[in-house]
Amino acid sequence: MKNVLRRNINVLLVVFIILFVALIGYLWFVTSTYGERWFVTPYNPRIQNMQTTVNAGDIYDRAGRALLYTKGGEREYISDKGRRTAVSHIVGDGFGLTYGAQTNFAKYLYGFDKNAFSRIEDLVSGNERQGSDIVLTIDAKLSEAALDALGDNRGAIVVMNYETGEILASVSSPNFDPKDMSLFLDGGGESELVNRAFVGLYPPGSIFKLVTAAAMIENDLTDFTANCEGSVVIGGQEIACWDVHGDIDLAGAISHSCNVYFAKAADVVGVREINETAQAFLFNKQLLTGDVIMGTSVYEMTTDETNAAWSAIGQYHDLITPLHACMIAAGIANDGVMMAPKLLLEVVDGETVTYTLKPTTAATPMDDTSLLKQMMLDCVQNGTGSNAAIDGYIIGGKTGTAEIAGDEENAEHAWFIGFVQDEQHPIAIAVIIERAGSGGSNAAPAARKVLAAALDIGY
Amino acid sequence: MILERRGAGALLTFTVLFTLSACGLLAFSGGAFDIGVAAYGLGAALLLILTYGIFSVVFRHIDRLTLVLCFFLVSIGLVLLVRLDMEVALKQLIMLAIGIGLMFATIAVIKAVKDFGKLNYVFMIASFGLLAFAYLFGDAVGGARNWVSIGGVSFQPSEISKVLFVVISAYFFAKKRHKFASVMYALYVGACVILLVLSNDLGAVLLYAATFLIVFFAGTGRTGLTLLGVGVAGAGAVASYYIVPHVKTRVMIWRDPWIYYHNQGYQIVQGLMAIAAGGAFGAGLGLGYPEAIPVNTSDYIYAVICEEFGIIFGIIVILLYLVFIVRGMIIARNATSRFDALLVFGATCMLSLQSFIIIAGVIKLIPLTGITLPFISAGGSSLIACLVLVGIIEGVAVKNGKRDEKDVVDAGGEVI
Ligand SMILES: [Zn+2]
Repeated sequence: MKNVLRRNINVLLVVFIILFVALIGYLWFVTSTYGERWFVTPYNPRIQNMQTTVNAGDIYDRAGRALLYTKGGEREYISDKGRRTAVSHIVGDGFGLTYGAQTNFAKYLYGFDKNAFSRIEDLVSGNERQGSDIVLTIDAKLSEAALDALGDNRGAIVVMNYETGEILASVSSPNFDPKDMSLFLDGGGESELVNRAFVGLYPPGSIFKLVTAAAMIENDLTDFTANCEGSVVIGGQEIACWDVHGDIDLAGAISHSCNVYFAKAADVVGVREINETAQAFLFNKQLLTGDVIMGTSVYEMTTDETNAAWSAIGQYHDLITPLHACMIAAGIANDGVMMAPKLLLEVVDGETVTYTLKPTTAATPMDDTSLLKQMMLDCVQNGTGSNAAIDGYIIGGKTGTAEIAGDEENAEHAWFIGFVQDEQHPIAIAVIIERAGSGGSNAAPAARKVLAAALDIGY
Repeated sequence: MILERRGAGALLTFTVLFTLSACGLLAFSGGAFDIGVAAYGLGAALLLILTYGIFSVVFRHIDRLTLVLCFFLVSIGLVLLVRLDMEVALKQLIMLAIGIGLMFATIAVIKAVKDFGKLNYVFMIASFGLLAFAYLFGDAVGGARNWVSIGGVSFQPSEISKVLFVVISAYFFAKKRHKFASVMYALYVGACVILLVLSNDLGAVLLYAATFLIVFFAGTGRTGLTLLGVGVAGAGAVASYYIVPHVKTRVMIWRDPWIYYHNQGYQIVQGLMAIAAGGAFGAGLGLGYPEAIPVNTSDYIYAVICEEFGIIFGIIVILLYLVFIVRGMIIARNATSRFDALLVFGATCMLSLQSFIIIAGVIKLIPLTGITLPFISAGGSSLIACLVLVGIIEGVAVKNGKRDEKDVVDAGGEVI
């Protein structure tokens, strides 16, 4: 009898050991996976608290221009209002109202990254606590050019290096002036604080055709052709094309953005296959790598044939963030390797560089993107994206004109995503202009301006 | 045995050094030297050394490692309380002294008695009465009605009750009891759980129910029935999710605390941010911002540990609880009677489960239920109950030691 008891005790001891080891494993896993994310919420009172006790570090752009610095114990923004507002979503505000660098990289700016020993040393020696300086991947001048390209419109533009994932510029309009946050602190304002580039979810419209095309390539359906008579009826509902394209193949359908072709293709490829490709391109995936907090893009699988057709051309419930759209163009340009978006180039503690950017891969949706790349080059050379062409450079792209569900009267969102095919200038871009109408005539010219500015600087 | 003593001695030395250096650091951190804080550290260290000395002389066969482990955990609590709130820390030190006195008494009693016999029925009435009293006259703190205040002194009856619960359970599973006894015991367990559910003390519900099932399994070895019990408990938990609004809220917060940040999720989010703020090596004692965490001295003290001492230290704390469990189980296996074995086993399980439930709740592995972290959290009732449970474990350890010594001497040996 006694032995039975002993055996039972042994069994339960093993159970307890498993429980506690699981506890340790979970603690380690969860803090290493989400710790950063938990820390950098604007809610974190530690960040506000540290502002009074630590000499916060400065923030520079990649060219060494100061964007925010501490002078005489005071936090100072740059005096040039145009530049200040162009980078406002990236730099963030000092009140924890936005997810900018001030919140996101608070760990470095306020010296949370220094170990306990060096902090205790500071404490005992009576030194003023000093945070590290950070250098961002963005170029303030390029950011100004991007904001300028948006004009008075609402929207967002993201420019990134497709080989490294470095974000060279990211602007969102309308924006805010971090120097005067009184309106927002009183709970006012509309959506100025929202960084549309990272968290704005828009219907992708025709830029999603790239994903559908990728699904066709992955499933060996590149031979599929269709006849476009200007519209097609699927499941009793009419899906219109913006032109009559006649007999058209995959390359032509991308270049001329034919709705009928892809609406018909949806059934041939199948929603399951499109969904698989969309997931490979990071739809429905929360991206935890990289330096940015971004919204999760949506592709919803549906068995309804009409909705399946709509979703294949980027309508129905499809949603995407401009940053993600840029990553898709970047991934295609970078031979199927999607780099994780990066914002932090360097951290400098006094004279010592304590962190340098290391490019990481976010996803590898395809092994071979040469076909897609060629179609996108065609689109700019001969198709809807011709307004993005720049003399002396090979530009690839895809336009989009996204209808807004339940909104018949207002104009559509204008999209353009693209890249420069050039080893010396590996840049990708995404442009969305809200309610501007067609992507080809509104977003593509803006993209051209920004790409030209980037090339001019030498990126 | 020599090796174990050396290990205990080393850990005690470490505990004393830890307490002294931590209090020294805190005394200096305000700019001017705070003599009160330094004196506190000295006082706490002396109390622990003195206790260790007296206990190991009076009870020669005490399990020293268990005792010192418990001291180390207590000292972590004291240091953090000094850092958070000196007033609470002073109260905790007084409670520690009282708790140590009661632990001494418990060891003496356990050493002397066989199984309390019919007294268990009195325990049952007392234990149930305490819970009923808390339910009827208690004050709600943090959603649970489990505080009772008499003549200005407030305490948690469920803490005292849980010690009795361990003793009673050991008695009833020590051997086959009469039908009447079994029915009485079953009624008692059921009534306790229902009362705790009614008081909204979810942590205690989980603790009592799990301890019961574990002791039941150990005592009877009936796997089928135990699993059935787990099933019933699980079904009860699922049912309570739909019936008790409080439970549903807890689960919803657990699934995504961030969307409830401005109201019910505030506490858990603050805890998570604190843990993240500390990183692997911690912000350093006195250098974090645990002031932002609600109930940072009791339920949420584990988040403070992680913030200021770091996640690696947090893991060490979990490992210390694990070592404590292993020691407890070894003492249980060596016990001279089934009652003693189940007694130690129950006490160990209760303490282990309690630490698991609250740590897992704070790090969001399971839904959060308000319960204290054994030995570390502030709270007189909780600390005293934990020390009495250690007293129970040590009492049996002393009995085991005596028997072993007799065996050795009978065989013509000598005990060093
Ligand atoms: Zn067409």
